[in-house]
Amino acid sequence: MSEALATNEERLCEFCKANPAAKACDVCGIALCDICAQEIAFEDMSPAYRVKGVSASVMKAAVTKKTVCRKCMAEMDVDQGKAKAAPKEAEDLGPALEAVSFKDTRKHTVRLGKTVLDIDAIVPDSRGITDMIEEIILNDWGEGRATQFDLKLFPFASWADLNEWDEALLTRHSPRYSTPVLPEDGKNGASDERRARESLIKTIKECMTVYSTTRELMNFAMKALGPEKVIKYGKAPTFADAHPILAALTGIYVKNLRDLEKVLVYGESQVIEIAAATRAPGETAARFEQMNFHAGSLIFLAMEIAELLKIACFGLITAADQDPKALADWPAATNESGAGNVNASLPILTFMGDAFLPPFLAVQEIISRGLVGKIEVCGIGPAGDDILRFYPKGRVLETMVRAYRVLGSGMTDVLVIGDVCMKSDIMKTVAGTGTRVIATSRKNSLGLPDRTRDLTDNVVKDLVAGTMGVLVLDPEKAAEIAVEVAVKLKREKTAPFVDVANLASKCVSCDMCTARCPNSIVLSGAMAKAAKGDMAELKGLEERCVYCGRCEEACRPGIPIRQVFSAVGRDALSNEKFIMRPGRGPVLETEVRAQAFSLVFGNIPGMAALISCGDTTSRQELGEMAREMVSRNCILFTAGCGAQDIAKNFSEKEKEFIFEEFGSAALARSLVNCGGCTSNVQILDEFFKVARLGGAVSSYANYVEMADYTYNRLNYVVVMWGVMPDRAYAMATGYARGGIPVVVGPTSGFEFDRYLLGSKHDKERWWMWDGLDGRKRDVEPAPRHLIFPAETKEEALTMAMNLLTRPLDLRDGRATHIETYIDMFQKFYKKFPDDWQSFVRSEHELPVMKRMKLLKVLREQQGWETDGPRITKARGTDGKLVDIEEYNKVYGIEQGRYATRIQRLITKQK
Amino acid sequence: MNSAKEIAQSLAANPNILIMAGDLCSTLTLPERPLIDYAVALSEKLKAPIAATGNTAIHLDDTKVTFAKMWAAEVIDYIREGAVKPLTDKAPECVVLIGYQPYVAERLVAGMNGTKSLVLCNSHIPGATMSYPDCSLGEFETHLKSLINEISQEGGK
Repeated sequence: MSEALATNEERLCEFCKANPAAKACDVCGIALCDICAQEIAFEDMSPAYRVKGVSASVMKAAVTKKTVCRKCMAEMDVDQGKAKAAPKEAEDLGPALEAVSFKDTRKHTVRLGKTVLDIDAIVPDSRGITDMIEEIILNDWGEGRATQFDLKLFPFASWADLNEWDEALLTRHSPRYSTPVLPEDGKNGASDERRARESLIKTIKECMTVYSTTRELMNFAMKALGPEKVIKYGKAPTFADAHPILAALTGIYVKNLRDLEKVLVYGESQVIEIAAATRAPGETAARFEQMNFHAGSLIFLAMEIAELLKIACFGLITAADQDPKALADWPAATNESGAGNVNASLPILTFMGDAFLPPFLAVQEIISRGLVGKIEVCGIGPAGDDILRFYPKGRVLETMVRAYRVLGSGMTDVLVIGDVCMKSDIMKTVAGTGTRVIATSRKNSLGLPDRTRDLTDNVVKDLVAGTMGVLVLDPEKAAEIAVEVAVKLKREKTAPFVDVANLASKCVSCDMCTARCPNSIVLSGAMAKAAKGDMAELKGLEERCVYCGRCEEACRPGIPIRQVFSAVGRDALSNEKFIMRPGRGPVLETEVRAQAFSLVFGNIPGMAALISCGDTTSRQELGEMAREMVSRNCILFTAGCGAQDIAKNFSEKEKEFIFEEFGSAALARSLVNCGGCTSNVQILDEFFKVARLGGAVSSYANYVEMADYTYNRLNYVVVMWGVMPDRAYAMATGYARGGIPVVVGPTSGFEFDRYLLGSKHDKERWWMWDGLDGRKRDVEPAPRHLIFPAETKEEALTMAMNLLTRPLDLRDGRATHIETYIDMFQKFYKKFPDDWQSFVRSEHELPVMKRMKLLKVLREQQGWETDGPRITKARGTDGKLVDIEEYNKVYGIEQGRYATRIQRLITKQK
Repeated sequence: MNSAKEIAQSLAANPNILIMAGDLCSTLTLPERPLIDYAVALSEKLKAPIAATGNTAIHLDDTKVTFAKMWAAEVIDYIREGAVKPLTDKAPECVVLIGYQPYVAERLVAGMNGTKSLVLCNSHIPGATMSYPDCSLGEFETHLKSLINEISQEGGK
């Protein structure tokens, strides 16, 4: 206890120097006034600390009190919970308050080799996760790397945690909005804040859909298999390459369902947080864009969880269980898909949309009842792609966008529908066909009567007797009912007769259908001919129709145009046959290591993904684009509905479908089908794996460094061709956030309303930090854009080749990129692009066979100077002509040198 | 609806015009002539360069108009920032869009942030400074011919 000082009115408090001193600090002894004196009560149950004479009872904790100044209070080493501020003795303060502190003041370190790393300097808040961080560092970091950089990890990252990366992207690739102007926007148009908010809402709504579907799958798996169920993609993946996007966002190495559920909870919480933020008044456009990036990453996270569940819990085939040597032709390209391959004499059971459990369970029902080969199991959209991975006899029919084409034909006996990625008026579409509909999702109930709790036999009886649709929310029950109805239902598999000539005669040639059509189909002339019985032109136009229904909305006389097209297109549908290669799931470490050589040394222009929802300018277009890219040695990935359209491409020369013609290992000149819609994550994972396996960048809780490496060094591009559903919008954002440029189109790409563009003329944007000496270097505009719309496939392919170049390309890789870009541009536009020279740093980067010609072009068109086979002077971005040595001193990154867009990733100087 | 004369007068008042010709110029044939012919005629009468987007550039090689193969999104970006290189050294005062689906044109115009625009298609574009009302392709072609005629009468450039 302190001794009160003898009253001394002349002695002032030595702390505040204002008030008279009344006490003294028990630690340092300075005089204190009543205000500056802090009283602490030390309370401890330990007998060793009991102070005789202080405790009134052996049942009470021993209490000692000290008077301390604020400085000593702050420096005092007190254990949490044992020291607390002494209660005020003045009566007017009421009951004593006890402060609770959650601070963890313990030191958390991990020894990596000879270096001791402070975990609290690496992670913003290590409470509860120090073990996980230790595991990451010990398993996945080398000592050299850990000491080279300002190491930061962001487990369970929020959008704010990753904003250093998002800002790096957004300062280079400005968000450009094209949201149509509303009357309330005024003459200045909509604000960027409004547009950014709407853009974010579009992405987050799709996140909600995918998370909700994934949650249903998780809940089922938990109930059926329990939390200890082992989760992995197969035998092959290791800690290093297990599931990069999941690892990058959360830091978790998933071992079982319990771990995976934690990841799902994290994702759901992030989605909720961002969704809530869309209501925030006064938020800036930049912040909304950062959140939008994060939402894009989150949709891939949900897809990753779904993929892991499907493979680990439901046995979808996975490349990770295969011998790597077999991957060149695995899975076999032998699946006969298309309506033309469906045996119409059998019951036809079709699944549509994101429904996974109903088709999976229905197939188990079919197998257990010995009905294999006695029922046709077909799929539209994602359901089709997934079915092939657990039921080789399944058949893919059509993409989600063009579902009407199949549904309106009446070929399906029973349609089972889950969540869908786009608006579709199913009951209206199948009206009159006799197709029975079973809806299985609370989010897409179609307004049908809920028969979930009714007896299965009664539901079956009603459907067979003529009830057109029911809602059954129990997937097991829905599967059982679907199979039973398919077996029992006897119906003609045709659509009702459509009097095309009569409907066509109503056309008034207003051409409003053409104005709304994504493919600008000019219908009026064809309708006039059809009204007279000549259907030829209509049949020809049907090939270009995506069955979106926009024409019907605009049609003044109300012609059901899709019905007309479906009727004239029936022959084309019933003759449509193609060969699918089922999806294979993940790409393996062995493939990634083999790719790296090709990528770096220019054997291939790069890796590309061709994704589509089906709204292309023709049903052949996607296959043509795939062929163009694979033929140029790209490693081309696909997944989802796009794989179905690509599969339709047939080579007259080789007499093979495209999946039969090209190999399926993720190597040069291959066409890799990863699977259904959720398998899109395998493509992003594959891109990140190269950073891990090729660049030794750990993925765990390390999104920023992964994306920085990917963006600056790796030659990737995604072409999303046919992007009508908003899910494509969210995915494009997710790819872009990972540093992968995306070209979108055709017409639906112009409805994105938000793009991420970099101007090749604005040299202020194009710089990097030299990763070794920290200097800022000007670099070429690469990749020029992150989300970019193109009108035609020629534009898309040409820009895609441009977007493959990177500032850190080595010489041979750069030569291949330049050659491919010029080649593609000349093929389609018969001239040189006006910017290819920005990628040239020496004559060695000009492809050998064309070197002299290109040197001439540099001289004559760009004003460079050459001497024989050598470049002597180059024109910089400021237009000045300088010696080539000088040019390379100031422009570009020296070959093989490390560079970054993130300042803390500059190597620490010793 | 702005009459052809009003539109022609408005165009004449802007010395710095850029024409954006979208891919429909290379695919759409109106009842009498391909749309590309009207794009070329406008360029000649207005002495305005053409930013040929989509695949339109291929069809302009044999003409005498000033054009460059460009991408629509980049043209809009350049318009916001100023010059549309290599065609102009400063921001155009008026942009004429021809050969785009109406809802694509609507978005391109929205991206220009207030630059004066004339959208030539068979649908009204609310955000454009000038456009035609909803009409058939035949009526649209009639409007185009009238416009080109009025521009000629205004003296072209």
